[in-house]
Amino acid sequence: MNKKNTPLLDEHLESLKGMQAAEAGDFFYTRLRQRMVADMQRNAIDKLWRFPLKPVWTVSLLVILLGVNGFMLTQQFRNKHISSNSNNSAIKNFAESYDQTVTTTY
Amino acid sequence: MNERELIEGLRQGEEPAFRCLVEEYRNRIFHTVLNILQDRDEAEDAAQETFIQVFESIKNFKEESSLSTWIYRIATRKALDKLRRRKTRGRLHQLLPWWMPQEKKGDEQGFQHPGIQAENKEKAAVLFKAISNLPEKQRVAFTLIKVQGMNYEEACKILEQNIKAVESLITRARINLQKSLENYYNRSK
Repeated sequence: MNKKNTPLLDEHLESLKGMQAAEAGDFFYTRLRQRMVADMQRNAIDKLWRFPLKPVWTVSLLVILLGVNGFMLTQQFRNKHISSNSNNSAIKNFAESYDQTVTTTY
Repeated sequence: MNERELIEGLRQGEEPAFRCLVEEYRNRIFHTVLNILQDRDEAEDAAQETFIQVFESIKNFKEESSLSTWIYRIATRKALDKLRRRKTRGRLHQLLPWWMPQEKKGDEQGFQHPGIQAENKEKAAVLFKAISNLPEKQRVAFTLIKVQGMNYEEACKILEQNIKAVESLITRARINLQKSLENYYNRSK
């Protein structure tokens, strides 16, 4: 691109002439080593958690829990259904044994 | 210690080699990431992460480029990661201000580079502010070549782009910066 098209930019770029390189803070190496040691310690602790927290394990556990949940719900529903059926038949038996189904006109 | 010995020492995990590497490159790497990130704390962090990555990945270094190019490549990637994280944090803060802490606000006058001469500081700050609004690839290419004065050949190796792609990035960056500076001064009037 022709430099004549960007006079304002070129004027500003002039301000960078003679720029000194910025220097990292004091004790950079010491701080870096400290960070590396801290990272190593953290990684050692993380390793203990990393295995059970792997997505494959967490997803499998979730699927198992959902399966157990579904199974329990269907069992509960089935039991309710059976008990309501048995309640109905008990009422019927009671009605029949006392002959409550017969309509009598007085 | 020459480059070969340095690489071998690093591969063996020798502390003196690592110290030598850090002493040799720390200011250069810090200067580069500071120019890209325009934040001293983040630049220090990115420089540290660069050396940690070098130490951990030296066994994978295939010597297809020079050690210095490889280190600069890692440094620019770390700086870009930080820029992306900064953007994500900013977006999250806009969406969920109560959950995401406020980003530290930059100086209203822009980034004050410590190596700029006093009489040029104001203009340089305006320029750095305009650079910070460039798309990330243009920002990195422009910073390496125009701010830091790196040659195109080395910048191409660091950015892993061919010369035409880098020239195109610089051209687009120049146009965008010119517009951005014009807007800045029109608003100030």
